[in-house]
Amino acid sequence: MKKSNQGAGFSRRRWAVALAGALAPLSGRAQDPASPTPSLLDAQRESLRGHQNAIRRARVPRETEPAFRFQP
Amino acid sequence: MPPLPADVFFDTASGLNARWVKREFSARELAAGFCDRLEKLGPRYNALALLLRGPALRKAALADAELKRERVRGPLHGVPYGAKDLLSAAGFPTTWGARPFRAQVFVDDATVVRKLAGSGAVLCAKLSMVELAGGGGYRFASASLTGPGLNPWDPTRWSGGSSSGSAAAVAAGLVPFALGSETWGSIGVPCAFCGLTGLRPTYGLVSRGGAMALSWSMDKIGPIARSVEDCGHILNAIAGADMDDPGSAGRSFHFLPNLGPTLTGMRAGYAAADFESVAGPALRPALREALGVFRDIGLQLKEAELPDYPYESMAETIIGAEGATVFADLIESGAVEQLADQRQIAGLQAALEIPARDYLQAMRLRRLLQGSIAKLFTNLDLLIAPACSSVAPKITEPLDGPGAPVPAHAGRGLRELSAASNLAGLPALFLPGGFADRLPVGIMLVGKPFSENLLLRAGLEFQRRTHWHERHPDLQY
Repeated sequence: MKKSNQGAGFSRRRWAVALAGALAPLSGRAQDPASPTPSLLDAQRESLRGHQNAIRRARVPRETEPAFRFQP
Repeated sequence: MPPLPADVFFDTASGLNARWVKREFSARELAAGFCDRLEKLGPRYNALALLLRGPALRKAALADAELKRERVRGPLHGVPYGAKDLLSAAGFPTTWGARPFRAQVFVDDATVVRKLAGSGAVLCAKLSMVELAGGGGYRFASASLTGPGLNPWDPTRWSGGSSSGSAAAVAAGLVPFALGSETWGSIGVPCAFCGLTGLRPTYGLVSRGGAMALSWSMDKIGPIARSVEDCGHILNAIAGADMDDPGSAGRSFHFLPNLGPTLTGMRAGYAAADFESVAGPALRPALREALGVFRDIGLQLKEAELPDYPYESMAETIIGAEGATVFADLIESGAVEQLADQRQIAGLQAALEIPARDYLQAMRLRRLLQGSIAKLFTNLDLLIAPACSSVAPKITEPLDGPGAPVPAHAGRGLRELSAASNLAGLPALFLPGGFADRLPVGIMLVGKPFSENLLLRAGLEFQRRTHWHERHPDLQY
């Protein structure tokens, strides 16, 4: 059993353990190959590129730079 | 046990609580009745992820024992409910609607589940959902471990996503209320398609501790119910600060429907074109009538439009980047290929390649958007828009089609309000607003951050006058 993936409780190691546990019962059960075809993946990439271009066109002032501050 | 009266299954949560307090039935009888119904009808709508009959009956028996001592915790005490299967229930599988996680078990209850237990509500079932809340984008309603969510108003149609089982279960009278979640549309769309009342709280008002993370800066948890009053009571129970959620706003909420300024004269922004030319022709009479009800209530309706931002691109980039980061191990291990929907798989894989500069640019724009929205609300108290521009689609229809073209004269209006308000973290109330072709039509109210009581007050008055929320499907087909 594990903690959720929400917020501070999430870690890569916990994920790996959880994923291995979740996948264990499935080992040996052949799944239908579900890999998307290259054209579908390309289409998704293309769609995301469209969104990225739309975002890049927008002008953003410097004062919105993400800040890093030491916490007390 | 004597059979429960048939009207129990479509009563509100607060109504059931009142009848329980009057000893019309015991909480155990109530829980058993709803569990029977979940078991019998849940699979018919692909709504049931896991029945929790044993724990529910034990919890209900405790409620009965408390009532015997005249202890009533509040309006949810003794009332059954269901939780979207992205919320953990300690010791039971929490699948996130996805095959790779079907054996996943958590050690703790989600914060909202724990809070509802404290209010005396009885968790009867985990409810189905779109796999991983649809974070990669999906093409078909069947993108779920349990199959497509079927709409009780017409089971050839979709119940909406991603809280598909939560909405189908409430609409079919399998639970009086359910918890759902929304990152972008996942409470609003199922409520609109299934004729239900839902509340998407302000970002950070309700803890996501123990919930699946999809997009940590946009995920919200909220109720799907039969009335505005129930939504208020449920939010009252689940809201509040929580150390288990880094996004917690540290705010509490008290449902105070009778306090606050009168609705008369409040300024409500709307775009006539959204109602008259963007929404499908079949929906327009219902939407027009709903808008008229708000006018009759005394709201001052004013034309409004959203500020100019690339909303869809911002939301797609932020949800894509955060979701792909959350599920990076799943994607890189290849286990992602066990998901049901090809487009969802491709979407998650592609999103892992979103450059940091684009995510950061989207987040910068989001900060500007918050300022622009705050400016919009200096002249308005709330916004009113159609929750969806069409009724529930057939389950075989692709969901990623281009949609109906928007007429050139429609302008910007508020048609991207769902994306804009989710990006800005604003609360939204979803109301049944009539029917089109015998299918539900939904209305959406959006307010300033933490203005839930105002939205609820407007929604209460709307439901006092319309009664659309009291309709339920005839399940005798």
